[in-house]
Amino acid sequence: MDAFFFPSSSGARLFGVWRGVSGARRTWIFCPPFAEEEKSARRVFTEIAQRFSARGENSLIFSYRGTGDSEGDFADFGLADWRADILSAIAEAQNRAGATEIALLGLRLGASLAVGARDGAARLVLLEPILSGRSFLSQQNARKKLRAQLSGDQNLPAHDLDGWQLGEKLRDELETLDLRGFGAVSRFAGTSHVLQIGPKSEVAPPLAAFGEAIGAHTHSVVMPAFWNLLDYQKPTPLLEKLEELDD
Amino acid sequence: MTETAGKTRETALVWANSRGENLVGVWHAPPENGPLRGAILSLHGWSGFRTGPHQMLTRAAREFAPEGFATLRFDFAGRGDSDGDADFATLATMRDDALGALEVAREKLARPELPIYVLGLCSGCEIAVALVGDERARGQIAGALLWSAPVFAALPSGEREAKKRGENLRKYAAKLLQISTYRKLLRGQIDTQSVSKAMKGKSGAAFKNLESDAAGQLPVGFRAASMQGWQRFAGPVLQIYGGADPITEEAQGWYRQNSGASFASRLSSAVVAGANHSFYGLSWEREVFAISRDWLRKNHP
Repeated sequence: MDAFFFPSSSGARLFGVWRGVSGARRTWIFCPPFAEEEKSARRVFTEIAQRFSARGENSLIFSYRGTGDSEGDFADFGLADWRADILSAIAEAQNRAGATEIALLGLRLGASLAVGARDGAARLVLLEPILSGRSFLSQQNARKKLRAQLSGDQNLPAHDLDGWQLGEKLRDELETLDLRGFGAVSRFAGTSHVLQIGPKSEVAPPLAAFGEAIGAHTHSVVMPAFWNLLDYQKPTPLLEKLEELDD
Repeated sequence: MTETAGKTRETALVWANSRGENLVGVWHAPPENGPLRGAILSLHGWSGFRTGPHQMLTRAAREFAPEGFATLRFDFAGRGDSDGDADFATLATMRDDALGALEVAREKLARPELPIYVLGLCSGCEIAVALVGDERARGQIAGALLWSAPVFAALPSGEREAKKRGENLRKYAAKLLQISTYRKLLRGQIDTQSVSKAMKGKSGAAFKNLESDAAGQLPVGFRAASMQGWQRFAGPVLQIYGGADPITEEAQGWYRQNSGASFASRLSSAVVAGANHSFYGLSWEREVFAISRDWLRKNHP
């Protein structure tokens, strides 16, 4: 395992953790979710990366500019910057791994970003992609309101999403992010899987339609939405599903 | 260890803990042309990782660096990017990881005469108490910054659980009745598990705090030994709580009663008005940083 900083397109450094395996056939780049969801998902990413290492595959877990340990202020960046960060992470992984198949695994907003940064990847695994940026913002606001109501604390200003400053650039890009409907996304030439994670075993129609549009296999994984949990839970159903998808 | 030096002087680190597991951390060095006053060992909460909720621990390290304080942030084994099994982590394994990290911080600081402070957030404060309570570390730690410190190694006793459950139910039931987004909660769009756990009186590490010597639980005698050591600590302590955090009153009282005779004279205490447990708001976060900066300046003018 190696932890390091590597350059983004703007020169600001991105933090990454590399798990390299000698003779690896495939290299995974993990695309993390938005802000606070990254905190809850980080350990799950690590456990997936450890599984991939055990089966002889490299992985790079990184943080976007303005998040995690990476440089920059969150408020200064938006979706286009973070798509560029995925490309920087791919380049870094290729430098480290040499010629292996590149695969992207994204969660929530990270999955949506991976769709826009998939050139050069042979495989996509998209966990609960955000299909509508506007709905996503509404959910974040609802979560903020609920937290305030439950704990009796004050209502925070609109630009303050639970301690994350929502910049204009990100807000505007989220308002226009829409992966639903005809022509919103093109088919992916490689192998792709879309996973719904939650209490239901039937894949929701919008997610199924999205999967069809990009030519992905869609699956459901019945387990809690781990990116929303305060306490860690073993992601066993997800790990088992990812093993099934290996070919 | 691996290192990438850069203009902000933040360095990625990997080192092995006493059990041979690789831990991942980041060292923040103050600007090259600025003062160097000491270092801070940053300890994250039970279920988080080194960046903290809303990146608070990363931002704190960046706030303290221009003040002349380096910071080491790292993931405990079984957390974040570090190796180790999440199920086997306890306050004792985390204390051991913190002991090793203290050595790393001392080595990176490379100035033995300079002080090292320990900073805990939420359950990270319990690790700070256990670390300071350990005689191997006590003499090396100049002071403790405790942000939202819960009762140390609280037991899931029937009485305690019932009390907590009763308090939480009263608070939440009243508020849930007024909530316009209640349907969203039921649809699973909100973190229902944490609310449910709070209602049941079971939260975080409580069930890991039984002393049994079994893997995943505390060694027998850990709680008493840590508290005795904590009571012998003579350094200054800063405690900051959120005014809307349900733990504040009980935890403050508990520390007053269980921290030794000199605690009151060494304690600086602040409550951030309206803030919740993890200071989930930009203005609350800024206030916590400002109070902590002032306290560090007061101790090291």
